[in-house]
Amino acid sequence: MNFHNNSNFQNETLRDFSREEERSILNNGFASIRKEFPIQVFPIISGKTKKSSLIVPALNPANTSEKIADIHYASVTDAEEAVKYSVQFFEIWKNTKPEVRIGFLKKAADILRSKKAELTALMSLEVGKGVKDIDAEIAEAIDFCEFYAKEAEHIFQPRKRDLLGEENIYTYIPRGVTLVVAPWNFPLAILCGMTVAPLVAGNPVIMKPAEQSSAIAFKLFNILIEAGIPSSALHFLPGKGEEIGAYLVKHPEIHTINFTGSRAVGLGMIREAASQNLKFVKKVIAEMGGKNALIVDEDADLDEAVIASIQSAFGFQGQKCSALSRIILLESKYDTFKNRFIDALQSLKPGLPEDPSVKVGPVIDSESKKRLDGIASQFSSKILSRLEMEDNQKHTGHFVEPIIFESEDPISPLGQTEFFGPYVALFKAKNFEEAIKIANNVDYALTGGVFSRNPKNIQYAKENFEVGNLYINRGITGAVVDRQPFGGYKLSGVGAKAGGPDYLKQFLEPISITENTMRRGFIPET
Amino acid sequence: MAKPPGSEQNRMKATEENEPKIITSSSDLQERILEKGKELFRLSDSFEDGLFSTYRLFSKSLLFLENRPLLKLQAFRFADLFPSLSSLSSISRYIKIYFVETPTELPKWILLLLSLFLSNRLSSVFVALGAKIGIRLTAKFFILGRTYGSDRKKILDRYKNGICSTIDILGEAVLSEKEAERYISEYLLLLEEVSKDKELSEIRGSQFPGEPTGNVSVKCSSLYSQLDPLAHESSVTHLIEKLRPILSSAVSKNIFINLDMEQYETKDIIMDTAFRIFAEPEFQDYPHFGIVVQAYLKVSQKDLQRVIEYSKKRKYPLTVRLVKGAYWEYEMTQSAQKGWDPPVFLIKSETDRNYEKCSELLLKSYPHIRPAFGSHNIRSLSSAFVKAAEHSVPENFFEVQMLYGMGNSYKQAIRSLGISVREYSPIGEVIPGMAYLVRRLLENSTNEGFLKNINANSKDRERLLYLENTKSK
Repeated sequence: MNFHNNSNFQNETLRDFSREEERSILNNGFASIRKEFPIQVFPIISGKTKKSSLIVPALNPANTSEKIADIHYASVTDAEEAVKYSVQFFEIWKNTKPEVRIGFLKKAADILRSKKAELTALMSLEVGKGVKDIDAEIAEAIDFCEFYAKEAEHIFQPRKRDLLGEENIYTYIPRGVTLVVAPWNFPLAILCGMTVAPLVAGNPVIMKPAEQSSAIAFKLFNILIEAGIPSSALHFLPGKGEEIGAYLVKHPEIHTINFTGSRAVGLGMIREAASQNLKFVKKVIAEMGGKNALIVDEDADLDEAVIASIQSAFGFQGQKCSALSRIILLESKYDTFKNRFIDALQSLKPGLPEDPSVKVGPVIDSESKKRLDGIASQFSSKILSRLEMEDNQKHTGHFVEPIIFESEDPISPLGQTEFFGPYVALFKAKNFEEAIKIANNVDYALTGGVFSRNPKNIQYAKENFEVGNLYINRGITGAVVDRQPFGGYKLSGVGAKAGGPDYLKQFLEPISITENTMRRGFIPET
Repeated sequence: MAKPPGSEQNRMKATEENEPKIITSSSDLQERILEKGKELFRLSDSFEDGLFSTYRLFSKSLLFLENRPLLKLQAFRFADLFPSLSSLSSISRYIKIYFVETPTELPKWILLLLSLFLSNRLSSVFVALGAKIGIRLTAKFFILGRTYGSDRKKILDRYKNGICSTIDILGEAVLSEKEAERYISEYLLLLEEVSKDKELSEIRGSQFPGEPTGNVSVKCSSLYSQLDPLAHESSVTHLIEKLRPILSSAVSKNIFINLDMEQYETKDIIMDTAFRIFAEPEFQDYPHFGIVVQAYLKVSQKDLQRVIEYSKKRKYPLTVRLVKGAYWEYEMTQSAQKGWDPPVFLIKSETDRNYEKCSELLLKSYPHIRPAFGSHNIRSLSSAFVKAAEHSVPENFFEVQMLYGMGNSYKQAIRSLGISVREYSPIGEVIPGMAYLVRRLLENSTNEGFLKNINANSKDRERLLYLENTKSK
C-alpha cells in the first residue's frame, strides 16, 4: 500500500483485546491493584514525604463503598517549600545536558509500558473510565514522553546562520519553575504530557494533580522519579485547588502555569498572572473547554454517524473536553437519525466500568452528579430520550442517566453551556452553511465533526468550521499524539496544541546570539 | 447434510483410483491443476449463452474502470452514497459533483454529453432517472429480491437449473438492540417461508434428494448490537441467546444454518459461539451446521485445525465454507491505525497459496468435515478438485459456493463435473444492498482477481491458472 507519512514518530500500540491473553492480563491487573488499597498518597517535596493534617479518602465512583486511597493533602507551607527547592534546583536542571533529560523521558515511557495492567485497573477504579478509553490514554501518556523527547532532540540543536565574519545562533533556554495543574478526566495522559514537556525543556515542575485522581497521579509521579528525574526537579503536591493551587498561581517565583480545566479557573489564572507586579510576564497555558458539535449532512452514512455520535457523546460519560454535546442535523436526515440514535443509546449497558460489557459508567463525584441532575430537571421538557437505570445501581455510585435533548434554540444553554457529562442535544439546520453557522456560534472552538459525502461541503467545513480539531466522517474524540495535535482556541484555550510541534517551545525562551568574529581584518576559518 | 445416495460407491471408486496417485510429485500435481482449470474454462465456454449476457455486460463495464483509478474511486463512492439520495434532483446534483466537477478519466465526449444534460433542469432529470434505473437493474442482478416470499421464483429457477442456494439477509449495520430484534424476526420469518415453500420441496425432492429443506447464512453481527472483543464472554453469551431461537427453528424445519464471518475482530467470538451452541444437547446431533474460515487471515490454518478437531467429536460433520475474505482493506486500515500487524496476508498470491493449503487440510479431514469452497477463482477451485481426488474425497461430499448473479457459466461447468454448486443469495432492500455488495465486491484485490478471472480472454486465462509467484504485482 502506498501512503505518505512524513513523520517518523511511532505511536504506542494499542492492546488487542480480542486476544485472550490480553484479557487475562487485564483481569489480573484488577486483582493485584486491589491488594494495594487503600493506597497512601503523600505530598513529596525533594524526595521527602510530608505529613499531613488532612487525609481525604478516594472512593470508587462506581461503588462508593470501596476505598481506593487515602490522600494526604499538602498544606500551603508544603507548597512554599516546593517552590523554594524548585528555585534552588533550577540552575542545575537548566544546565543538565538535554540528552540526559531526554533519556529520563524515554525511560519513563518504558516503565509506563511495563505497568499497563496496573495503571488500567487503578484508573478504572479511581475515575470510572472504561478499559478501551484507558488503553488509549496510557498509549497517549507514553506517546507524550516519546514525542517530547524527540522534539527536544530537535529543539536543542541550535539553529545556525553563519556569514563571513558573523556567527548567528538561535537557541532556547528554559523559563523557570513551572506549576502543573491537571484535570481528573485524563488523570494519566494529560498530567504526564503537561509535566514531562516543561521538565525535558529544563524547568523544575510542581505537580498539583486533581483532587479526584490523586492516586493515579501519585503512580505517575513515582514512575517519573523511577525513570531518573531528580527529586529536586519534580515535586508532588496533592491537595485542594482553591488552597494550594491558588497560592501557587500567585507565587512570584512561578514562571509558567500549565493548566487544564474549567474555563472559569483558567481565565482567573490568566487575570491573576497579568495583574502581578513581577520582573517577568507570568505565562499561563490553559486548555479549557468546549461545546463540541457534529454536523450530519443529508447524504451522510448514518450507520457510521450514529456509532460515532454514541462514542463521542457518551464515551467516559461525556467527561472529555472533546466530547460531543451538539448534533446538528440537516432536516432531511433528522428523523431517521434521531430514531436510530435513541435506540442505540437505549442499548448501552450501565454499570461498573471494570465489567468489559459496560458502556456507561459513573460520573466523577457527587458534586458532578448533583450538577448534572440539576441540568436534567431544568431542561426536562427538552428530553428526547434518557437511558434509565435501576435505583439500586444509581445508589451504589455517582451514576447519571445519559440524555439526548432536542432543541430548536441553539442559543439556549443546551447549545451554549459546557455540561461535562453524558448529555447531548439535537439541533436542526436547513442547509449545510446554516449548520456551520450554528456550530460556530459558541464561545468555544475545540473539536468538531462532519459526516458528509459531498466533497463541496467537506471543503466548506475545512475552511469555515471554527475548531481546533476537525474530524470528518469519524468520531470527534480520541486525538492521537503527533497525528492529531490537540487543542482549541477562542475560549477553549490559549497555548499550543498538546502532542504537536509547538508545544515544547512554550516552556522555553528563544535567544538569538550574534557574534562578530572579525578581529582587525582577520577572519577565523570556519 | 445427509449423505446423498451413491456416496459410498463413489468413495470406493475414488479410493481405487487413488492408489497410484499418492506418490505424485508436486510438478505433476501442478500439471493436473492446470489441466483441470483448462477443462473448466472449456466447459464454461460451452455454457456461455444469452441468458447470462447481462452479467457479462456488467462485468465488461467494470473492466472499463480497470485502468481508470480516479473514475473507479468516484464510481464506488457514488454507489456507496446512492442509497441516501432521496430525490432525482439530488441524484443529478451528485452525478455532477462526483463525475463532472471532480476530475476523472471519463472520456471527453461522455463528459461533454453529461454536462450538457445536467445543465438543464429537465434533461438532468433524465440523467438521474437513467442512473436510478441502471443501478436498480444492476442491483436486481445481484440481489435476489426484497424478501424470500416476494422473490422466491428466482431461487426456484436456480434450483431447476441445478443450482442450490444459501440465503443471506442484507442490511445496514445493527446499532441497537431494537434493530437486532428486527433482524432476528427477519431470520425467523425467512426460515418459516423457506420451510413452507411446497414448490421448493418438490424440486428438492426430485433433484436434490440429499439437501435439507433450505440453507440460510446468518450474520452474527446483525443479531447483537453490542458485540465487543473486549467483552468476549458476554458477547458469546448474548450471541448464543440470540441464536438459539433461530437454530431451534432451523432444526425443527431441517434447514441448514451457516454462521458467516465478518471482520477479524469478531472472529473468535463467532467461533467460540459456534462451538458452544452447536454442542448444546438440542443441537449436538444436528447434521446441518456450518461456519466460515477466511484464508486471507494468517491464523486461518490454526483456526481450521480447531474446527476440524471440534467437528471430529460430532456425530455429523460441520460444513466449513472456505473463502478468501472480503474485508481486506478494512483490516489493513484498522491495523495501520492501531499500530498492529495486519491479520491478513499482504500479497494476494499468499492468500491464494494459503487457500490451497486450507483446502488440503479440509480434504484431509474427510469425512469429519464437509468442505464448501467459496471462490470464483478457477485456479483455487481446480486445485481443490484435484486434491479432492488425491485424498479420495467423493465429489458429492463437498461443494462450491459462488455469489448469486456472477460467473454463471462457471457454475454450470462445475455442475457438469458432478460437483454441487451453491449460490450465496442476498435478500434485502435492493438499493442499499447494492451499495453494500458493490463495496464488498470491488474494494478488495481478492475479488479484483476473480473479476479478471471471469473476464479474461482465453490467452490470459491460462496465465491465471498459475499461483502467481514471480510476476505478482
